[in-house]
Amino acid sequence: MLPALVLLLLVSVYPILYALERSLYYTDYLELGPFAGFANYTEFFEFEGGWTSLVNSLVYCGGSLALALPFGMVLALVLNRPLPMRTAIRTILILPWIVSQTIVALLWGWILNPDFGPVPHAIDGLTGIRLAIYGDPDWAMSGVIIANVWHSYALALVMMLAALQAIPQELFEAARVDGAGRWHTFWRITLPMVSPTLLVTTIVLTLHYFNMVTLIWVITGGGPISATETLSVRVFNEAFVQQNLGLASAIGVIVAGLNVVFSLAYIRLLRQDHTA
Amino acid sequence: MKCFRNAVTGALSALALLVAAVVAGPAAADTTLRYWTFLDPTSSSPRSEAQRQMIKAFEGANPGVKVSIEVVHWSKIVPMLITAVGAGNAPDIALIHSSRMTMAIDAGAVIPLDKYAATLSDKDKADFLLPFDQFLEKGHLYSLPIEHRVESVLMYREDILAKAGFKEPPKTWEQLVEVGKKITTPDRWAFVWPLSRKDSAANVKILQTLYWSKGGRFFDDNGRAAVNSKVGIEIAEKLKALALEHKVMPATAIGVEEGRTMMKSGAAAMYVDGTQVFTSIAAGAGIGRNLASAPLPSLDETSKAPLAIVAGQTLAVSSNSKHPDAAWKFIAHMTSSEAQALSGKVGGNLPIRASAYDDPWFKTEEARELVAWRDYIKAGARANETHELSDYMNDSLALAYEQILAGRVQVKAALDQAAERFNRRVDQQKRRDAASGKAGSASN
Repeated sequence: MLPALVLLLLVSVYPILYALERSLYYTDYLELGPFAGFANYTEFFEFEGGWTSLVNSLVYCGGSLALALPFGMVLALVLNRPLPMRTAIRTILILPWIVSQTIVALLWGWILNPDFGPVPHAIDGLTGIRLAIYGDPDWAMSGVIIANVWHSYALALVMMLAALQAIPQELFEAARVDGAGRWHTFWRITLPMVSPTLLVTTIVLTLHYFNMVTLIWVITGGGPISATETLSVRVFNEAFVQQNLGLASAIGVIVAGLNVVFSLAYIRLLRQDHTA
Repeated sequence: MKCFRNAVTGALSALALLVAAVVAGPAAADTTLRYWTFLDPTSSSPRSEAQRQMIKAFEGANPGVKVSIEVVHWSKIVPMLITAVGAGNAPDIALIHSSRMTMAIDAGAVIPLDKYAATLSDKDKADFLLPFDQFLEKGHLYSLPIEHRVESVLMYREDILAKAGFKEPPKTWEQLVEVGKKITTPDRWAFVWPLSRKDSAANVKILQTLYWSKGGRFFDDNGRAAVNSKVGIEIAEKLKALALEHKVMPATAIGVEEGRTMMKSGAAAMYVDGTQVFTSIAAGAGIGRNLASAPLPSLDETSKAPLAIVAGQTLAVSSNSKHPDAAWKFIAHMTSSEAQALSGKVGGNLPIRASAYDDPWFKTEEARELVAWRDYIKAGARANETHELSDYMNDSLALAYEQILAGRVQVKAALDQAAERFNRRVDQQKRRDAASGKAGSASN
């Protein structure tokens, strides 16, 4: 018990306290400078584009969830039915999840590159429009969300597929005997039965998306014009590029706080669902 | 019995030898230097090959020393070095870009090399292409360059320009527009200058040479931003016009790596970057001898010709080095005339030693560009103005240029915003330094 507690304190609690302490000081590279109080927090929102980063994080997270969850669910429903070569198809669909974020970023950066990417080249040939998705502040966020969804939908797919396979077949048979249509069966049986898994998947993906740096950093570096600069990207940039550990820690604490809030909200929903 | 005695004696002798070896510690032959470089030794790029051969020659000349290479991305070497020094596990030697040395020194990540520099003869010092004093930071030697590069050249495709009727590259901004309009096609941009925040906004600092040509600067004497000066606005207006009015340059955010790929793939005909990537771009399909380089075009007839910005990768010894003497030996070897000639011949790097150019290879057609760059440096060159917050300035200015080129914000407002953003960070730094009794920020 004691060793586990010590390990927990070292691995989880200490880094959080360390970041919390750093966030209250001005820092000189790795050293603590003078006490700053909440200046790192207030300056972040007042002068350092904190609100933009927060909104970007919410859009990135919300946009990715809005696409990855339904996409994963639909594919899970399809794959739950008898299909020829089902195992091979499942394997292929899960492949994007095992590819590293750096590779995914390079792949999508190349596919959508306006000057040598195949997709913009094809669109240019058909319409005469030169698409520069990652270079245009109006489109860049959509572009990174698409890359992210391609990378992460497989997690939702696997979780949903497992949940679907756990639903007793008798329920569907009873519904069929009662004359329920497909839509009713899905709405009244499938969805309620998989909703706990759906919520867990939502929690996992929310935390994953909110903390994501590599994919965005490699594709756009947070640009153009900060259009894809999420809170986590700011943490990375401030800590490891600008060497401003105090500000980076403050943003990190904000990210951690938001993660806790989202998780608690989801868990509350989950409990309500169980008690209902 | 005798057999047993012999066996015991033999075993004891072996044990004694083992103990003696352990007590004596690792012999000189066991020194391993940990070296952080961005050049992957497994890569087939010319620069990696040159590094491989130079290190092999060093190990051959110093049988007691081995070099263990650890690859770190060029933009991360200083931040990671600072962190590693804090954690006590930094390498012995790191390859650091000259513009980032101020940050490494300020963070205490590297040690002064003055005692080793004192062993260099006057003749040796005079053999450097640049005056030896230019390598000093606040009067101390912290690193020596392993290569020079002119960070501010216009690379261009001779074949594309010739096809459009231009025998020479543009020498003025007006000519740049004229050439640009003739060679831009739906599949090719005439001119690319990566000015976005991607890839650490690495090519934004090249703008400095245009500022100098009109008497402007990035930083004022107090280390505050001067990028929003009249000169700065004029430069930004000209670049904006290239993108939005003449449409010869992309208005979207282009990173350094992306710009290089565009040049290699033929999606760009003229490109602003450093000489260090010339060989790699020339290796692009169908490029080869069609690639040439020239000084950046002058802004107008009232401005001076833009000076060559000389910078380059330097070798520094980390504060954690366990073998500083061996590390200096390594630096001395890598910066020697022989190693530098090899670096030029194999890697396409610009040697830092004047005597390296005496190698017959530099008289060949293959060395045409290297010799031209050396002459460009001789004609007038200077290092980038640096500041301990140089990276933050580059980032702030890149953010401004992303807005300007996209036509989102007026030039003056964007540059004012960049200056304000940078100055706020400088003020914060000063408050911090004042409270901790540290000397103020440095610029040179």
